[in-house]
Amino acid sequence: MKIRISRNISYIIVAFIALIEIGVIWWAADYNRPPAMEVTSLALTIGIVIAYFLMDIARKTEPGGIDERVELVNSKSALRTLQIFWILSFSMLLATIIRFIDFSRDIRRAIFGPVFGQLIMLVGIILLFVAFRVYYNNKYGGYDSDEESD
Amino acid sequence: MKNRIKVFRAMHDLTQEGLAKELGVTRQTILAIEKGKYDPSLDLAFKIARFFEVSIEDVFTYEE
Repeated sequence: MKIRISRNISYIIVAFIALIEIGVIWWAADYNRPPAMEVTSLALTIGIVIAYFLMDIARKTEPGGIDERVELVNSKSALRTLQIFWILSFSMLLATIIRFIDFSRDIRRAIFGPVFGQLIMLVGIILLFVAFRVYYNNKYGGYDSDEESD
Repeated sequence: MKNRIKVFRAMHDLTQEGLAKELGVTRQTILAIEKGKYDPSLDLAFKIARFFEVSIEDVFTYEE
């Protein structure tokens, strides 16, 4: 029997597998004694193998590769995802800092903590976005001069 | 943008799948173009026109 899975369904299943993996890691951290490490390693390996086969089945179900419409769909989806993810992450991290910040303590310790690190990464995304804008603008002739601008 | 791909396909006795294979795109792309949900790039528009051996204006009609 031939199994058929569309790409979107395969992505959703892989996301659920990732959620289960996070649950296993959570359990292992909580349990914190043998065989937590072994179970986690086994679960991660099985998860990766299942995800690989799912993506492979999806590739075979929807062959034909990438054309310009698929590229457009993918790039628009990726951009929207990144925009929403950025806003949500930045808001959540900012809220976390405001909630837990202790002004009586030396704040410099917190600067190198994970929350500040993630905030700095999110700011880094803006800089990366600008860098890519410059690169692609240059690639597609945005900075070229012509006889009217000389 | 309106197009007459379906008409030209019928004239050449071609399925969407067949045309897609000839042009190196997916069947869904041909379907989307025919339904007017996706405007092809200039490159693909020329490929379609050349495949049917007509001018680009014969296949596509621009509407404001």
